[in-house]
Amino acid sequence: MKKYGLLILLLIIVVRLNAQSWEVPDDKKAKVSPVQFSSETAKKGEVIFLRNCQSCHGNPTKGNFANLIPSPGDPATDKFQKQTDGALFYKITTGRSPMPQFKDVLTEEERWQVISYFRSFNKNYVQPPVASASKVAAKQAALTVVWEAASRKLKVTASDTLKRSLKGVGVLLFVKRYFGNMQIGEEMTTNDSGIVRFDFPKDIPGDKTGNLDLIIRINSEKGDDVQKTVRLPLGVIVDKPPLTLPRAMWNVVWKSPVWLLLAYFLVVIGVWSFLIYIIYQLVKMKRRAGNV
Amino acid sequence: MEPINLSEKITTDILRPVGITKSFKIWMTALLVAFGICIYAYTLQLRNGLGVTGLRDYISWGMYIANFVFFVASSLIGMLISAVLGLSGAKWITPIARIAEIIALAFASVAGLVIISDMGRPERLPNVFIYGRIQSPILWDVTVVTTYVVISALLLYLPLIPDLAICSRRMDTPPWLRKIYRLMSLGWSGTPEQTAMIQKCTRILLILIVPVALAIHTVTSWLFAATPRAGWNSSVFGPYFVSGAFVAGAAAVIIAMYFFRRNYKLHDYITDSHFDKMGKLLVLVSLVYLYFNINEFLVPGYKLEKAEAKYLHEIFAGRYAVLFWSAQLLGVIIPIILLLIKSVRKPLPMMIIAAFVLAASWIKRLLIVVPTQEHPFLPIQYVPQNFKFYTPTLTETLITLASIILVLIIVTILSKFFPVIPIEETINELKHGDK
Amino acid sequence: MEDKEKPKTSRRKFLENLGLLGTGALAASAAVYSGYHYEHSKNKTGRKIKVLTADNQLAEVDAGSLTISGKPTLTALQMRGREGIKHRRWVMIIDLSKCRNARKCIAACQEAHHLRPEQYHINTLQMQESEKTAPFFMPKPCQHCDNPPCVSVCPVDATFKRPDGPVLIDNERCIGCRFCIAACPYSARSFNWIEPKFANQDKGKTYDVELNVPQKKGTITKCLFSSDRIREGKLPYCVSACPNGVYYFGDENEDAVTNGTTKETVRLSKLLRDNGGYRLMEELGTKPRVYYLPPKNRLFPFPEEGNIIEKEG
Repeated sequence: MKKYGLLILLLIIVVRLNAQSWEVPDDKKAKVSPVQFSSETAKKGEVIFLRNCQSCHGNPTKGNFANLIPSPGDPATDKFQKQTDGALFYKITTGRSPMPQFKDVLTEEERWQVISYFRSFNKNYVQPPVASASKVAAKQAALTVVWEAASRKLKVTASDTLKRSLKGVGVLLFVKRYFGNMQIGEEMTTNDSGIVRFDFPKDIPGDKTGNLDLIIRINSEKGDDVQKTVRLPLGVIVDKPPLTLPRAMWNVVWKSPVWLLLAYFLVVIGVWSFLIYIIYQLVKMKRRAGNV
Repeated sequence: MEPINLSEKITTDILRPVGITKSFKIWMTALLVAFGICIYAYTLQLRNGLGVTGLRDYISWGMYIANFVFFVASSLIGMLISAVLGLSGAKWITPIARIAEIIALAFASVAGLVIISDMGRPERLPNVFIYGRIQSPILWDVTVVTTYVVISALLLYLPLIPDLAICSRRMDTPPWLRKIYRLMSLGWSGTPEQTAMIQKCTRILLILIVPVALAIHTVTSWLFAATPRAGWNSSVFGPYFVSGAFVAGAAAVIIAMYFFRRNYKLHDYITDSHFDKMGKLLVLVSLVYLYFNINEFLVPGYKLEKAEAKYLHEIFAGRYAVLFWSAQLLGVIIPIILLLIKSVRKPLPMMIIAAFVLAASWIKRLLIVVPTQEHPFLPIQYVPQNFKFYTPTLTETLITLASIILVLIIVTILSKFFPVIPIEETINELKHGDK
Repeated sequence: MEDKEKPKTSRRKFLENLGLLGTGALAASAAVYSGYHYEHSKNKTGRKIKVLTADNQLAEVDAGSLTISGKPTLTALQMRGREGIKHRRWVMIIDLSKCRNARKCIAACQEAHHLRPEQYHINTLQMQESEKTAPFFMPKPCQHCDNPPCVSVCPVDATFKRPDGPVLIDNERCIGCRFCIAACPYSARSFNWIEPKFANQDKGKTYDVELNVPQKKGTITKCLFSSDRIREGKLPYCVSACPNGVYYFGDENEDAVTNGTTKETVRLSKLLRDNGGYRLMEELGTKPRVYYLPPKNRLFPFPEEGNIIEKEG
């Protein structure tokens, strides 16, 4: 067993060495929060942290994080505090094994609140100047969607309230599914005419008529995304019968295999008709004897 | 000897033990007291749930189900003796046919109750009839056990009718009992028409009981074989169970024959020759059973598939090895060897051997039910230790004991109020033998 | 009236004349009719209840369709539980490479279903296929088979397969024979051997077949794919409680599954194709609705004896 333990230890060390580096692109490192950190944002961040992060990272300053490879670490330590806000934001957003990504779980604002909570353990921390309003005033944007059947492309035009096209805006496409929206392709940036064209796959299952609910969203950093939902018949027609349709051993009794129904009732009726006949004979004998 | 005197003697001999005697009262009181204690154990189970047993999530069938299988098995002997031997013209079975039928009826009817003791919600039994799914082997079992009980009861009752008429004419019986006998004899007067009817109906029943009896134990084996579990997932389970059933039943009949002969002083009717023949019969059915045992264990033991290997190891060399090998040796192999010796086929040694065979049969049923469940395909983890292995509790044992006592009570009552040896038939056979 | 009566009486006579055969035919037709009746009564109990509407009108409605101030009745819940959600086929994907035995799924499940600590709807097992292969943790819920051996053997239709996939259990009907436990090759079922943990607290609650609460002594309890949650469009308890992104859950008809931790929705077919998805004990022909992604890149140290609960709760 000792040998085995040693092997694991060795493995842990090797993997740790490899896993130390988690590269963050420079532009992401430089990103700063649009939210002013305060005790209030830290409080909100704590609630989120306890719900989503504590099981691996433990309680900050306590060092009670889970024994994983690579190590999750304690957010109150230098390992975290020496990183820029942007780097932390990037890591929370994208994740890497075994850390889950949180881009669909936490809004950008919530992610910044978690960072605010982290910084509350660092007395020397000074927040860099808050980022000014994002490049697009998303609230004022409008989206038009056109299906180009010949090329199977979905054309999305982004414009502002004055119908001027918005260029250089990130647009995402989703299909609505039961438990969440499923992204189609990657985020695309509008051209000079404010247009993006998404390749739309042929094999996305739709409803009984092939309809799909598409969600087109302009990504804004402040969380006030512009979103438009359109219903288009772009999906594959799916009309699967209920799983309980066929006759089977596991189905309800009236959907049991026909041969079983026949065999059971024929045998039971066959045997019991003889028994009833015999009982009838006995009753008859009694009755005749009584008459005599 | 005058034929009339002879039949008079036969009637007196056979009817001597019938009626309420002092020893009967003592024996019944003892049985009822014991039964009462066991029933108290059942009320504990009713109140606190099946948690009073040693059963848990993984080993969820134990002693009750093993006992149920054993009871169904023992009841099969009625069919073998009355129908298979009777229809093939073996005359020697006449004095023991009714004993076999009494045992069959007692075991079969109590088997139904045993299964209720295993239910978590016995008060919901009617659901089986309201919502019954005929795809479930349980429903087949309910159907076929009910049918078998009815056939066994009729097969016991029909040949009894002439004897009941004789009983009702006996002056030394209490009047209320005579009234019951008269009522039950259905006005039998021995007319040719009545005789023909009884003969015809008995014949129908004797033919009918063969497939039904085979079905009752085959279906019971399917309770296990219809699941995909290692150790149960076997295609020889049907005949394996049926052959084992004949062994258990024959042993039960031998024990019953011994005590009826001794206690009811029926030495003239249940003779050494009957024991000799039953001994040979037990050897025959044991050999068939041994053959199926070899099939059941050699074939998977040769291949040693992952799950099967674990299970086989457990019964051959593991936790259940002692039980398994003693059941196989003391309950099958040694009895076969001993019973091949003519001098062993005498009442007392045979009774002792039969007791071993019967006990081994019971243990064998437990070994069919339990070890498979202790080794499911996926490991048993993160549960208390008592979830991993099955150890029966006292309560559970008492409840099982209750069923055995109930069988004894039924056998005692049936044999005390009705002649255990057919009077009319014995007389007729002797008359025909004289001519 | 007389004309109508005549054929009836003659038919009755006919049956009488047929005697035994007629009894048999009756039994058979009763069986057929009960099947027919079942189909037609799926939404009806036949029991009528008088209710007062908002405008003081006395109305008679079927007991099954009646709900009192938002709280559905037992019958309504039972019927809803058997019908399932139309046009859906739920599937679960378990990514074994991510599980590190946090057991949050188990805790959330046991809390939601009022279970004792040793009663598992889902359990995480320490697995090692052979001596030299890497050990791994395997969460094991009910596999919700499309050919469920447990449902086949149920004598009273207490456990049943739903049109949208899950295998459920009706505790108001279960007789406690435990044949389903014996038949399940995945050891996925549990039994209420003693009085349930919250028996007193749950007294008087209406039994919801989709949540299996209140638990009942002497009946089976099992994983339900959190049917109550999926009805509300929420992911199952275990799926949303996982901190490691092990679980995906979704609708096979939509070809999409959502990860319980990251909430990311991905294509089911692609996920299975790219990661070599498989099902447990395929050779048994049970056709599970739970898929596993292989335990590749196992880097977590494997505990020697696990924190096994030794005492009974």
